[in-house]
Amino acid sequence: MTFTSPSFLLFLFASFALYWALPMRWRWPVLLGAGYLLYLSTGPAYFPVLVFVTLTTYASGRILAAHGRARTADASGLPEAPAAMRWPLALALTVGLAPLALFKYTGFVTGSLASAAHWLGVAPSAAAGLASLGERSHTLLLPLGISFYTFKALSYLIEVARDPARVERHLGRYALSISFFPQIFAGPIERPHALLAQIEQGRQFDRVRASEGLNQLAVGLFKKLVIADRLAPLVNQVYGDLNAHTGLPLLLALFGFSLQIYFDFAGYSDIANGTARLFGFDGMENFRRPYFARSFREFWHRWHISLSTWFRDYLYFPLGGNRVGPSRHAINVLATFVISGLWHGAAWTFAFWGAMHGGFLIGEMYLSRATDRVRARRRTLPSLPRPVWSVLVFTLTSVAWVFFRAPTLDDAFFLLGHVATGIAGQLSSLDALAGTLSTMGLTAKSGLVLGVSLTGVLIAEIMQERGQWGSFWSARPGWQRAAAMYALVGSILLVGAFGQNSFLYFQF
Amino acid sequence: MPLYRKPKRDTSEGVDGPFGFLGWVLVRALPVVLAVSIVTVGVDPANLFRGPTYERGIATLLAEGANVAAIGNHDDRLVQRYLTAELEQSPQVLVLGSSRAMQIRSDVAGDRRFFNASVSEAALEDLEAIAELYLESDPPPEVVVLGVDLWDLKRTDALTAWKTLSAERDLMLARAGRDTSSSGTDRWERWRRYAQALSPSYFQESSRRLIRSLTGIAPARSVYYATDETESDVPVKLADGSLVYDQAMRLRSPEETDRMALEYGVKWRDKIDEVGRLEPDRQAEFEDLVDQLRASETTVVIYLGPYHPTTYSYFLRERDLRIGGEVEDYLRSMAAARNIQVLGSYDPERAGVAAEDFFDALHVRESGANKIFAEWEESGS
Repeated sequence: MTFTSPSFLLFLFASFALYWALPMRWRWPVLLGAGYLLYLSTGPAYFPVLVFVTLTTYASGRILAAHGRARTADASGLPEAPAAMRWPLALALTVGLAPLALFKYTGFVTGSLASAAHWLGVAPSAAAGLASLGERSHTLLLPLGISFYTFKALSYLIEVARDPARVERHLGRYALSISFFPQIFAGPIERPHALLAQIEQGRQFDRVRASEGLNQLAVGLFKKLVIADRLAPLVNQVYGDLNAHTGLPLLLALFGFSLQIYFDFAGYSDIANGTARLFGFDGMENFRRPYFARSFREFWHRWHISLSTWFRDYLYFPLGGNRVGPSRHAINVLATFVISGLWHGAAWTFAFWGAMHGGFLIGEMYLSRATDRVRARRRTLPSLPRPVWSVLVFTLTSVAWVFFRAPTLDDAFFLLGHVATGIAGQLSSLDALAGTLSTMGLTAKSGLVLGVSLTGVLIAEIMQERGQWGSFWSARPGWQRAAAMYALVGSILLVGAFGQNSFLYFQF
Repeated sequence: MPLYRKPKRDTSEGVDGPFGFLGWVLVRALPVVLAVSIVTVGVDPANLFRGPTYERGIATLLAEGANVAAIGNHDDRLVQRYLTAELEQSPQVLVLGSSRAMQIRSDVAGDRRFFNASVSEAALEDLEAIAELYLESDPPPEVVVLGVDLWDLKRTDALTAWKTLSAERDLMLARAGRDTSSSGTDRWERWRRYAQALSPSYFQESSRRLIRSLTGIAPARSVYYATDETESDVPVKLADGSLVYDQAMRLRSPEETDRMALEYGVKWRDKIDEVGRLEPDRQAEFEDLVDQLRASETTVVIYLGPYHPTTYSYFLRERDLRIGGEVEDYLRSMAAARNIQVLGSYDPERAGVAAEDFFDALHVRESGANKIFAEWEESGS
């Protein structure tokens, strides 16, 4: 059962009815049960991993809190764990991270070590053993959502180490904060205490919040089914056999994947947050029109916000952030982004993608300092219009996505090296263009649907960016708002690509 | 600000509490639900809501020896059930398989009575059930050509169409002394069919048909007819049970075919070995089927439909993988042990076919089937 299946709608309404029908003290078990049921519906094999992470981090949190109260009674509210807590915290984090490391990184680490040993020509038998271990570990399937629920649990442990008073004693409520069903598969990586506070407080039904949630859910379905899933086959066709393409298909796949991953994950986040609102919960906003960003710094304030703030709070700041010298600052940025890349996937392509973004931010930082110095001397400096910066950031971000999507680094470099090859011929006539597009499997219907949908979303996002969206709809009469919602639902039903692709971020 | 309108409080005014809200949502969803169900049930392109008269009519025409054109979505298992009830003479040469075997025509059987009883998306259960239908006839077929696909030897929940013939399959299992208690009688089949009234995918197909009908392009539902023609701009099921695809598919360019072959490879890149996995239980079940056919003095021939050269070489290149390699190795050794002839191969080169012999990644044209069966004819089987 995925968020886009009709059975999920039935599940959602059944959970909604049961949740609100019961007295408040019985509502958390309903939500926890719903989360576990939804998780089990994708296959029972990895459910024990979820339970293991929940139980071990719950116990670790209790132990950390007890240890912390004894040793650091006056250290609450520190931005970092007090020194006395560092080793216990490190131990707790190691235990919490163990399943993620086992399932996600064993093959990558052993394979990389084997390659390094082979390349250096040392310890051939050990290298062969590592390679064999790496091969075997690839047979382990990644438990669904493990990166997301593990990071939720880790942030809980860090917060408890910083302030033992924040420990959650109620196992059921803690388990719910880890397995809250709208967020169980791919986040947003809500800070457990934000969710725990709402769970403990108890939720009162608020019809405005519920209406907003329903609308947000419909918008998420539109982004996923009408846009992302219509882009998916075109992108997959090219990335599946890069050597068979040159020029325009590569260029379209390059930008197509940028749009696909945005609408896929932003659509998922809208569905998750919309669903949470139906149950009275406010989730963390995960995307804020990232492709309108005029700098990479701004991009990361708008893209996958729950993850980027996680890395900021729990890795970048503890490394020293920007309160260090320029070189160390650059290293902190690079390290944070390379690790963020590896969080997405255990492969060098993801590390390279992270390093590129780190490099963009460092370059931007030095450029900013240089222009500040020039401005300080001359006072004026010609500047590019804002949309040009947005296009530049979007283009470079799209280039980086190539490393994220391509199966290997060689494939990514191949795409970038052949993106201009033969493009003049492919654009020389309408027939040539149509022929090229058909090699990607782009039909007239898909082209029309994508063109209209993307134009509509672009207009909507421009209005949101200018703060005109809410006032525009507030000024419409009720029947127009209702008609817009029926049109949205109708378009999902008529042209949505049902049952074709799971969410991209589920694989992380 | 997210891409959704913050509703004014007055839009749901008077709605108090979650159940009032739920009712408010359901009332507003009702027009959508009604529209979807009226279109799907009204157009019903797959004849899900109309009973078996559609399939019975096709079977009658085939039994009378007619070609049938423009058959729309239907349950071809039901056609087989009605057809075997109406046939006056059972075929001497019978082909069982999936759509990958549908291009095998009566020419390959010479003067013998031939029928191709292949059904779309066939699983091992279909081979068992349809074999049972024809074994009940008197005399049983002299030769049964079993078109074996690489997914036949692995249990899957993805292929469920065989459940129409679960009773016949049970009889075949019982012949082999197997337990039928866990067989696939589907108590929920009817309800699942009714649920299609609200299926988005079925709604999309129904809407597409409705628009084509309203604009005069084509009728909303296919109305089949008997014809003397063997080729048409619509699909024709020949009197010998084989299928002639519509004109668009027959005239598909080599470039388009090649693109589709590659697309198939990309789609199944990481899943094809799972599809072609061998399961000992299924191997034993398949061997039981072969042995039951042989026990009825029927000669068994195994047919392996090849894959398009582009698809096959894609997997060799990308995954260092022979499509269905393990399955084919097993089938060949099993056949050798029983002195059973194997025709074709999943490997197009071994099967002796080329790119021009394909419609797409996994369906050979008649020319491809004839090349493969030339070996059979030469051997005088």
